[in-house]
Amino acid sequence: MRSPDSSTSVPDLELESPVRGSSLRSAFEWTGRVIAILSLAFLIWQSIHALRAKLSERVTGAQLRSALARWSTRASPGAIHVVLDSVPQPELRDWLAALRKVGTETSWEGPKLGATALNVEPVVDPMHSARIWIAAPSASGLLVRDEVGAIDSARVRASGSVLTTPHVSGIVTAAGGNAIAAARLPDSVVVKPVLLIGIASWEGKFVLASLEERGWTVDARLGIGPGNEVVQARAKERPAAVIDTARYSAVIALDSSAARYARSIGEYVRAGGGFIAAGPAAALPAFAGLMPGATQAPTLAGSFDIDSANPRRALQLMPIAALKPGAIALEMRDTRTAIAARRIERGRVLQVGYLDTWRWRMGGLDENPSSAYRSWWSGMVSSVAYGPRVPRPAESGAVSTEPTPLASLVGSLGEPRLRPDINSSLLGDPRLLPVLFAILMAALFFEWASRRLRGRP
Amino acid sequence: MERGVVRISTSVGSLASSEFVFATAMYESGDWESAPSMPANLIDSIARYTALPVEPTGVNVGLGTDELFNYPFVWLTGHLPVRFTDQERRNLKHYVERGGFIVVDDHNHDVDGIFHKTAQEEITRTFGPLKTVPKSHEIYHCFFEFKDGPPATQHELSGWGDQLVHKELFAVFGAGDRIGLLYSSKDYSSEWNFHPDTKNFMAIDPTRFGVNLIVYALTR
Repeated sequence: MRSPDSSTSVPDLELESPVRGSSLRSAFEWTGRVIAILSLAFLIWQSIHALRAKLSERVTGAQLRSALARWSTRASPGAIHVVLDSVPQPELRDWLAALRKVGTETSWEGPKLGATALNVEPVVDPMHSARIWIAAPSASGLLVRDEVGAIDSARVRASGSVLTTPHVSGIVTAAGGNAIAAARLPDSVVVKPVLLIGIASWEGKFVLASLEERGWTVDARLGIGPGNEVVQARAKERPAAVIDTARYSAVIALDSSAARYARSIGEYVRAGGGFIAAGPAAALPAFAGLMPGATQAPTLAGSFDIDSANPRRALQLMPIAALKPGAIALEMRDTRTAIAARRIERGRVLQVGYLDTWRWRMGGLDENPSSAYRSWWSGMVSSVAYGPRVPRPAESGAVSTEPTPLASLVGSLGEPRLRPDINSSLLGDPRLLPVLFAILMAALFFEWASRRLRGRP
Repeated sequence: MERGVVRISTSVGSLASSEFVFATAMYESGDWESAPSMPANLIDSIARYTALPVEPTGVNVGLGTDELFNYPFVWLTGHLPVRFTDQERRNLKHYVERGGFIVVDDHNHDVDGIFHKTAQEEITRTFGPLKTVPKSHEIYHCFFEFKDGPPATQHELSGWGDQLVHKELFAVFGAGDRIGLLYSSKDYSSEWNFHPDTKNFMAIDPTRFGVNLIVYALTR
């Protein structure tokens, strides 16, 4: 006989079990529905957000032009971000800036862009009218051109390069560091003769010859004896005492015979003239007020065999010491100053400590000592020479130049910044979208399957 | 560019950075030492007529040596055949190209002589044909005035050698039309080969043209 308690407990179990399973299943189905709705909502929000605000493209070269055209016509994005592989041309840069001004949030980055800058300046040199300064990333290749053709190419050492050229025509461009800088020679200079003063000697002869071979017009006054001086035809037309910037671009004194012109030379320098005192002339008390420093006792001459790559080491040197305030050492031999420079009012003075520099031209063992010697002396004269500037006539229809393209880009568009944060958060990760879609589909499938297995529609 | 010379009053009483040294070229062939008194005579003339710092004694320098390049003025003469070695020829070419000044003087005063023929051959081989130096050239006017070109020598006037009075000198011109090599058939080596004191007894010092050569070399 069954007890009443036991007979009633079994049906209870049979009744409660389907109810509990049904509620769990129902909760599972509701969870699936919620997940599906949330995923769908997020995907819709993402789509709307992307349509509304985020348009980010990686564009280079011609792609930027077409993208700008698209952004300016068919699409009207709220924000754009461009990743540049090269500095855009000025018109493209201005186009981007214009988009920013009409309300488009514009950002850019260019991790490969290097700072390239170009400057073209006139130089007082009869054979070179322009000096071109280029700043570019180290080890980048450079191609310098003007409107006629290529001027030079080089691989940048350190952080820049400088070259002088006989002539430039129109706009000069320097391509390097993923940028093209462009500049124009603003004006030209008037090159006047050089006055050379000294006693007839090998030093005077070779300095005169070298400067003339480099295209300088040299008025030489080379003393031979009491009352005698070899004076070139061009110089004899001018009174000896008149040394001024209207006549000469530079004055070179080689020895003590220049002392009698000390007063004129001082006035000439203060008026803007260039003065080079070399060898014994640099030690003259008459020029002490002009010199950048004081000369010391000369060293002994060396041999060109010792260092043929640096032939001036073989020359006898009167080291320059006690540099005055504002004077700078331009060339050193070990710890001693060989050449020093100083500005005096509007003029420039060069003090050269080397003696008998002609020995380099005659006896140097470098590949072409005559040419190197010419360049060296011409460079020194050019570095101090007075050259009044003459503005070049404006060219009609001239294209604007861009001497510092990266700086101009920053000036127009602001500092570069990495792509805005949409990619940096989990929600902004584009890989999330297919995952969410898969979750959505899975939730819908399991919810549907659960209902069908329960026999529900 | 037009050039000329004027003399104006100046005072040159100080020293240049290096002294002028008269150098005689030694070459492998021939008798390079055939005018032993001439260097001292020209040195005397430089000291006598100018205030240029000058080394009282000359030097002999090998044409084929690096030492040649320490002396931008070199005198080369002789009577015998001239045959330069490869090194001498190479040095001579570099010497002129770099701005040196060499005088080659025919001690025979004879255009049919062996020195003239062989020296001309060597020069032509090294530089190409010699060119005539015009009478207007600076070398005739840079210190003493020689309006008629190179002064005649006693050998020419006496009818020795080729019995010709050579009216011109010849040259190899370097950069800027500067004379790098001067060739003379006038035999100045004989004309100036005497003791310097002898000049005291001469109406006209024949070495004056030698002074012009040195002044030209030092100033152009």
